[in-house]
Amino acid sequence: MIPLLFKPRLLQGLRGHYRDLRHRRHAGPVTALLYCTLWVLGWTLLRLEGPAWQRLSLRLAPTLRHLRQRRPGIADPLRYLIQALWLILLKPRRPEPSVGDRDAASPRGRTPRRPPAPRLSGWRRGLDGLTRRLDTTTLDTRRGATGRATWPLWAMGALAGMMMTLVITQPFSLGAQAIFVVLLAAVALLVQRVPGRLATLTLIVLSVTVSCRYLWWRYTSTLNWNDPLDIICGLLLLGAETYTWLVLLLGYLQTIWPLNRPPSALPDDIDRWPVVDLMIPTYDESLDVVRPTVLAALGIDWPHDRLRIHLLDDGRRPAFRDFAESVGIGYITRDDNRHAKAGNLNHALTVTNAEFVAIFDCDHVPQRSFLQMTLGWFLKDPRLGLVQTPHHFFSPDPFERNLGRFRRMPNENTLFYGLVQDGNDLWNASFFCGSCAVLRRSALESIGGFAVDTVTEDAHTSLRLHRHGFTSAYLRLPQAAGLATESLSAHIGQRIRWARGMAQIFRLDNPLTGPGLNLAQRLCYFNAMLHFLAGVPRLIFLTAPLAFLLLHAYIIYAPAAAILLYVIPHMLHSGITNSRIQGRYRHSFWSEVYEAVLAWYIARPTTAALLNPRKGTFNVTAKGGLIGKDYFDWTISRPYLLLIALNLAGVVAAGWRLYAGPFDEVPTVLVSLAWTLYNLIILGGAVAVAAEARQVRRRHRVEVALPAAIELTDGHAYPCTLHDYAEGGVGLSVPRAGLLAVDQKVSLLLHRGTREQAFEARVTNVNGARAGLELGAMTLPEHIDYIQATFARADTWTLWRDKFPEDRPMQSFTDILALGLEGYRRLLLHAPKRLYAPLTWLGSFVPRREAQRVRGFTD
Amino acid sequence: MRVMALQGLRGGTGTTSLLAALAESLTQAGHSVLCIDLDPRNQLRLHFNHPWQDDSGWAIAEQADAAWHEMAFSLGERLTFLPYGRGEGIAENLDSAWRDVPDIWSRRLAQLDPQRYDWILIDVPFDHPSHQRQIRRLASLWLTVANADAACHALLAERPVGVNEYLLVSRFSPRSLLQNDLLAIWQRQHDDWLVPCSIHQDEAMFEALAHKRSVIGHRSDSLAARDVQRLAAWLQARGATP
Repeated sequence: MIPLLFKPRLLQGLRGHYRDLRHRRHAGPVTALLYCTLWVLGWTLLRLEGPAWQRLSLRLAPTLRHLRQRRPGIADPLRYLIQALWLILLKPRRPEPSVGDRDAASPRGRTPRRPPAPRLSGWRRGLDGLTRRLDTTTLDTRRGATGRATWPLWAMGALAGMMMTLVITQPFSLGAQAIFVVLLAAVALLVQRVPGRLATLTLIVLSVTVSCRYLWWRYTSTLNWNDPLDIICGLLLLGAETYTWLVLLLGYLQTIWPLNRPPSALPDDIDRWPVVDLMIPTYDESLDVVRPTVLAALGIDWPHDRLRIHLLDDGRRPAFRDFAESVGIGYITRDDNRHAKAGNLNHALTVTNAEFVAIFDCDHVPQRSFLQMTLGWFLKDPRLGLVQTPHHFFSPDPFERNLGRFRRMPNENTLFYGLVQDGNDLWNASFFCGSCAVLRRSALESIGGFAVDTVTEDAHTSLRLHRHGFTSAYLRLPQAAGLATESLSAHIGQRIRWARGMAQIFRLDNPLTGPGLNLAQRLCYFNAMLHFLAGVPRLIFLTAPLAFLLLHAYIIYAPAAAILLYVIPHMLHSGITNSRIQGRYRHSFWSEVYEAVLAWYIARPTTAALLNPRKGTFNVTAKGGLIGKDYFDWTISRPYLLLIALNLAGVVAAGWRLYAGPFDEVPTVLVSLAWTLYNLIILGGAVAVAAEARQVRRRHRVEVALPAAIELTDGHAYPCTLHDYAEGGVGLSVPRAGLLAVDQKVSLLLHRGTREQAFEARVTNVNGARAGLELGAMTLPEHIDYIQATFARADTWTLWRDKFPEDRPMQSFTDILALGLEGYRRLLLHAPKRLYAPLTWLGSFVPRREAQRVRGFTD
Repeated sequence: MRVMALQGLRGGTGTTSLLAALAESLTQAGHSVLCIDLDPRNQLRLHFNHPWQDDSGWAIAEQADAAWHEMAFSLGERLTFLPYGRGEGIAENLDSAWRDVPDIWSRRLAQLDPQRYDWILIDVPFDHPSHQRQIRRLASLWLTVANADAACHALLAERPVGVNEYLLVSRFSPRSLLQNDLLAIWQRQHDDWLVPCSIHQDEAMFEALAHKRSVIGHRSDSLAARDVQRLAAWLQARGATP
């Protein structure tokens, strides 16, 4: 029996292990057998040979030494367990001097020695380090998992499914439910610290169980059918919760195993590299925006006779034609502007003929390695229709700019490009995002070109590719960077378009039905579309507690204690699990703010598009604009102000109910009040974003810290640090003040790989050791070199993504809290005098401490 | 003790200035350095603020049968330099005297306490084969200094490369199209022995000699000084020991 189950090598190891236990460590036969069983179980279920576990075992070895030295006994597992619990709960405070040395000695000890974080014990620190390393899962592990026979998996799945149904549907008394949720939470909090994919999967299972149980309970025991108001409000909330539950589950599925696909190598023989048409569609963007993109495209490392660059100008502007001619690229126009960008590309397809089509929005500057990184997979997989790379921004998006958080935490689109697309790739469902992508012409032709039926031609095109049996790939390597949208209103406008387009696809070409897709692809596309339908549910959540506080409708018809016992675990588990899965790409609670900002604006267009998908126009996302001075976007924040007013009324009503209402309602009022306050915080955050920060430069300055040098006309040269660059100039700091004077001519020396180029420049402003330089006229090769040394360089942005601090949910919540308060402060700052005056007048009644008054006086 | 020779590919590549700067940079990094001038032009001393009138040096001592090492001067605790000395026909005399004994300098350096100096930098003339031969067998690192110009390019084309020999580009000006192109060619052709950090053309380097100092002491914030510091760091990282 046993030889049938195991490979001979394993069997040999097992035998050796047993002998070692029996003869060297003098264990009894039963103990040795028990040990061997545990050994087999451990190696079967956990990837103990992985670097994470190896390091963990190295770290744990000294603390388990006393157990390893004694003769193995039957109760040893208990001893290990107690020791482990003791380590976890009552961790020893003694410093571990040997940790650093062991780091250096271990085969993968390339981590620089970090100063020990004072708050974490060595053990925890080890775990933290391990967890960080575990994202190196590659294709191999996946192949290993699918290569085996699948029937035991199905049997186990069926069994688990039945047990899960039991756990979800079994009604519990409050006491039983309390014990149940405490146990699950304890498991989750322990598992959360364990490295590895298995722990993540465990967390997902726990979260799914708890959330399903919650929803089951909501459907079966919390609706009051006897009161029409109760049931209407209750069903609305339940609908919103069902939506969230669905998105949660589909999200788990989508991101369960991010593929992290590496680039595939091209053949050594350059003659076999394919011909590529690189298309840059433009409509009304200025030449300043388009020029760096074109010049960077000219600098892409690809045989010159195999790269054809085309500027697709729907604006038919003579300046663009002259520019295209001057740099020697193709210039394509058409007679009408039908179907906007998709039509523009489709027309270009008719007048070009290369096998591959690379597409860049006119403000996405490609890196020189773009084609070499992306085309390898096409040669390997003849059915591959699309390779998409992330959209990366070197200017702050409205959230980052208005909240002053640029590059301090993952931005809004990091979740999508860092995790979701990568997770989609596992299911062969990563989709086209309109730019920074390569498509196969024959694939495009077989689906009739780019889809023109909706306003999001990109996602729809890839949906059709998938339907026709083509595959897609996603490379999580930023290979281009561009400008983020300027203002909040522009950002919202862009999202409205995406939301409308997705809703249109949902109606016109529903991924759940129709031919050609497998289940996972259907669900991934479905989730992408669901994501944009978040508007209405979010509005419901932002107003739900008011139904009770203002209208006295029991939306969740259950005692407050039961609500807490079901809701809190639901939120806790989804929070823990999502923080583990998404933490590096989005910090906890920020989704709430992002969604709250968009909710009102996408609620209407998505609903409209769902009802009538053929209506709706294409609006170009405005980029490259200016914001003259700080201002508060009152128009755009109007709906939030209304929601804030409503929630404030809710707070007042809660106070009144606490004071005058019946005593048995107090817990319900308190729960509703807490919810309302939370909503007010989130709304405060949404309002804070609407206070637009100043943005004065037309040409964007990209902030960096690059070593460079300058050479003066007198022959002296100095090293300097480049702080920012733009299309026409740079900002830098020299070793000491007084080296540069305004209007002085200098040469700027910039590195591009091993090459170094000089660019003539003029000093425009000097402030101590810092100076601003304006670049002189450049020839075309010089200009290409400049773009290559700045915008298109590979190292400035590839490093950003992983530098963010890890997600710490409590810290994140404090941030959100501070952000909410900041929102109200900004609201008051920008409020018209009429509104503001009564408040200051009221404020004058507030008593103040003596010390404060004196300080204010002397100031 | 690491013995490093610096030699210009041709005359006027800035080798002596570079050696003085490198010595000072290594000294600042905490190493003790001995600089030996093997060039009969006897220029190295001028970078160390040595009086012009002082003609003493090891070659003079050798003529007078005095101890070679007694002519050394120290600058601070870590930097010692040994001038060549100046006198009529000395180099020619040495050429003939050394013809049959190519290991005089090997023996001399072997007499030194190996703990005393971390680095010994030797300025080797490009045009005295007998001097060069003395050092060839004892240097553990050999830096050939070239300028990115056509003359050096031609010289490089027919030059055999020794073990532990590296090519360093000095006086590099990225503004020159020719220099940029030549450097790109060298990066391809001489990839295996080209030092990855070049020394830029910088007025401060010329000024330094006019002030009888090295560029590190003269203008520590100049680009050339930074380049020399990088080179010193690169050399330390090579960790070349004999």
